[in-house]
Amino acid sequence: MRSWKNIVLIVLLLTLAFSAGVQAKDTFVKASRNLVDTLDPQLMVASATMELSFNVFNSLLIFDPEDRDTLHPSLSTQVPSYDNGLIVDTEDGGVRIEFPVRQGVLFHNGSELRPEDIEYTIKRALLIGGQPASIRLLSSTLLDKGSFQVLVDEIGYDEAFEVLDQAVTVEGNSVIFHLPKPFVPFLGIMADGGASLAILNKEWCSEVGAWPGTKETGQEFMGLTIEETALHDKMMGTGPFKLASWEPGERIVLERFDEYWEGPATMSRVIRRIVEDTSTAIMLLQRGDVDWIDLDSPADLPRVEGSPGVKTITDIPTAWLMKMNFVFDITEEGNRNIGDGQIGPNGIPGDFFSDINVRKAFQYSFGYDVFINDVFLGSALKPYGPVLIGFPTANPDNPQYYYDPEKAEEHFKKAWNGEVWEKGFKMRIPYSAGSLQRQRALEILKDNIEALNPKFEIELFSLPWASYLAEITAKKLPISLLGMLPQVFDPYLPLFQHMHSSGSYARDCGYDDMAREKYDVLIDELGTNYDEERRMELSHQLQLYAYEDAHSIFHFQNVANIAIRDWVQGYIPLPQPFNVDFYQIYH
Amino acid sequence: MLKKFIIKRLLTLPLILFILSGLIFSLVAFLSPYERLAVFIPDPEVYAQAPVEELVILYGLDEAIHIQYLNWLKNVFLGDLGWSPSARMPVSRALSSRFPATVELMLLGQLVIFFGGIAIGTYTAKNHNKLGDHFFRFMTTLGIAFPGFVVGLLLLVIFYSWLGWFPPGRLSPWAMDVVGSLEFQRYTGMNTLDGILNGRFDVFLNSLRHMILPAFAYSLSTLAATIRLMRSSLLETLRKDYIYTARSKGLSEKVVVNKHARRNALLPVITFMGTSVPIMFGGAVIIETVFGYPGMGLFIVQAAHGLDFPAILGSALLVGVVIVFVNLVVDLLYRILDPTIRYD
Repeated sequence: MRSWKNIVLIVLLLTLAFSAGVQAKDTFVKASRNLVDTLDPQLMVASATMELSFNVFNSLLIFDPEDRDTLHPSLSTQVPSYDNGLIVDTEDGGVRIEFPVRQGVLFHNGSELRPEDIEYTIKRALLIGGQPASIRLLSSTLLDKGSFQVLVDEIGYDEAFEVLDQAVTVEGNSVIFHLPKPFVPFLGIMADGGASLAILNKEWCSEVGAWPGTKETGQEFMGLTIEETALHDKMMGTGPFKLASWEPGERIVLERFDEYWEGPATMSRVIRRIVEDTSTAIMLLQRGDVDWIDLDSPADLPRVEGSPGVKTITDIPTAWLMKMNFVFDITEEGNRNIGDGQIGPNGIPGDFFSDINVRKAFQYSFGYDVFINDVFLGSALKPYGPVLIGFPTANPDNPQYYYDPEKAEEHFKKAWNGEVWEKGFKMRIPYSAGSLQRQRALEILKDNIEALNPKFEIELFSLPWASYLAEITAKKLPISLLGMLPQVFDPYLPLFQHMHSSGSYARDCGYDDMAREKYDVLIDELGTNYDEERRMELSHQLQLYAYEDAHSIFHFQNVANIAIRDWVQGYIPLPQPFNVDFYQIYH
Repeated sequence: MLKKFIIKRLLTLPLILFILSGLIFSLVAFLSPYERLAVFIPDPEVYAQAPVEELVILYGLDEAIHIQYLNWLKNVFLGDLGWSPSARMPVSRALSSRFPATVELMLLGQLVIFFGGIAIGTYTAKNHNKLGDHFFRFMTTLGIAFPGFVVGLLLLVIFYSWLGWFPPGRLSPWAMDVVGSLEFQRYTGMNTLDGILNGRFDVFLNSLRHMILPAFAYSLSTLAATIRLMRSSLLETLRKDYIYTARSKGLSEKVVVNKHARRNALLPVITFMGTSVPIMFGGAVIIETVFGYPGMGLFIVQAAHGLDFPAILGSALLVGVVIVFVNLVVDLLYRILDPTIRYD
């Protein structure tokens, strides 16, 4: 027995002797709970993957991180414009946009960037039916269809491929895009920083089993999924870091690319480590075993503030806006959420929210400040409307709704010719389980509305995300809580998403007729008119319509909070929540 | 007879797995294609951009349920358990990395439970109603009452945050680099064993260092229950007539307890430990989350949360196999402990 005890003691001492190892000063370790979904930039949707792509790849242009209205050249040597002659209107009403390609840029395997790589990248993105929003937008722009598959279904593969082939061409050292009609956000799409439109190496892609770029093989690669793509676990770009290893669910390691065209990064190694639990992540940061953690909740700030060797950066603006969306045409059949389907103590009709006074009453019933203080401890922004704060043309003077019970009552009394106030109503609204901000937003709305009239009843309950998704697609929710995370810094995208008849919200929430009548023309012009003043006018008008027609309660725009080791310098906030430009980091 | 017994047991395995997979897959029939789509759209914020109808068709979520099951079954026979959207990798690959991690933790935990439970349980029975007995009975009550994640967090605060001795995660970064290198051969997927097999004692020790706290937190409540069970079982055995006979023959108390009484007292303990194995799979999720230890518990919960049926099925099959084998081992141990037990 004594010998067993001795063995256990010796083993314990030896394990302690092998310390965790001192963190090298040229290694940056980020802890995150967000999983990487795939390394194929054209199939990724998770922001975690975009962060990797941003650091491993480049795109043609890039936004100035401190001035989002300004574009800079990246793999292109110039930002195309009418002034420099790189944007030209064509006789058929289209636009020709030329990107001169930078010379001497190397991929991580040593091969040099060619215009054919860019041509291939764009064509692959369209052919495989890439899921990121910017690729779908590109598809609408270049092919005039939501996806390549839709085009194939209409005109057949051969003809569709001809359209694809002609959409992007190479002339000398330039890549030319042939747009059937002007599309102003196009340059913004090309400036996603190496996210979805990360430039791939055509030859390397072909070698590893991705689409070789030929017409004959194209059909095999249409509708590619994550499990099918040859690039799922491989990354090779022109960015400042290259992929060293990926242990899915555990960590991903990037190594400095010494031949990066802008000069090598300071950090030689970046490790992105999965840590599910916030308490554990905080301990790792305090011990110095990680250098960066995302703080999902402002309530975590006091736990790290004041820790030796740690500093916090708070209120970082992000491109994530949340809204509560009224559904104008709720499915009535078999829908327990609307009770008996009549205005009264037992339900609401499916078109309850089609009455503007109902929507305005709800708008004035929401406690915006209470919500932001309660859930985010004051650390969130009240949006101006559908154009996110920080985006071009966002209008701080746009009229907004505030909590005003008197006005809420006034509108309830007008709603449905007074029936709502007289008879009352009852509805059930679910929220996605585990989402505190959704739950709290609905609770505040419920409490304030029920306080106005005892005949008003709102029942809340949680649903697993899967069931919530099913209810949304079946249009069974009276109010859905979904937001926007636009990847392109142009007002067109959020306005399209929120207000165009082809956008997801107008369609899913049932105000597409209104959109066709009032907004589509303006949004279409916003997309095609390069005149900045006119774009401002259009955007402001649409934001005003969003206020007047009150489709959604814009209840918050997220700000990010992070805690980092105090040696970390050079961090520049990126608009995608919690993404880091590792190239800028230095000790 | 023994061989027949083992073969008979093993032959039930395919039937059990077939019924299990059928039952789980039948749950799919209750879900709409949109509910099943959730695992491909994990983040509500990207829903607005997701081409929902296209994705339903792309992933075959609208196919008849029996077609989906037959396709899955056919692939299983070809060694393909399908793709796990929640893990973003093939199910077989996810299981082959997650399962050994949990087995490793569980083995260490079971060693703690077995040796600790038997030793302390024996001590408390021998020192019945004395100070030592009271102390351990109090501690076991705490051990059962305290939630595992609270214990885990406390251990992490004391032994990592304050003392820096036992860090979370499965390996330190340098050890992960070694294990991930081409020179390191993965034989079992268990870092401790693979470290030894590769001649890397440093990796073995580093892995052990990361396992000590989670293994202890993980097994604490089972250890507490085992101590109590061993104590009561041994006390009961010590009252048996043959024990009096042994004593009256002049045998020392040590021989009476260790050679005669303990063997028989172990039977219920072995049964209990056998039944605790599948329960520990489920309880692992909290410990794995707190300690950043990527094992089966977390994988199963993420799969269940996302309605990732290929992963759920794969996990269920694997756990089913484990349970059958564990029960078989338990039954064989019975025979070793009590030769009067027959297999017919």
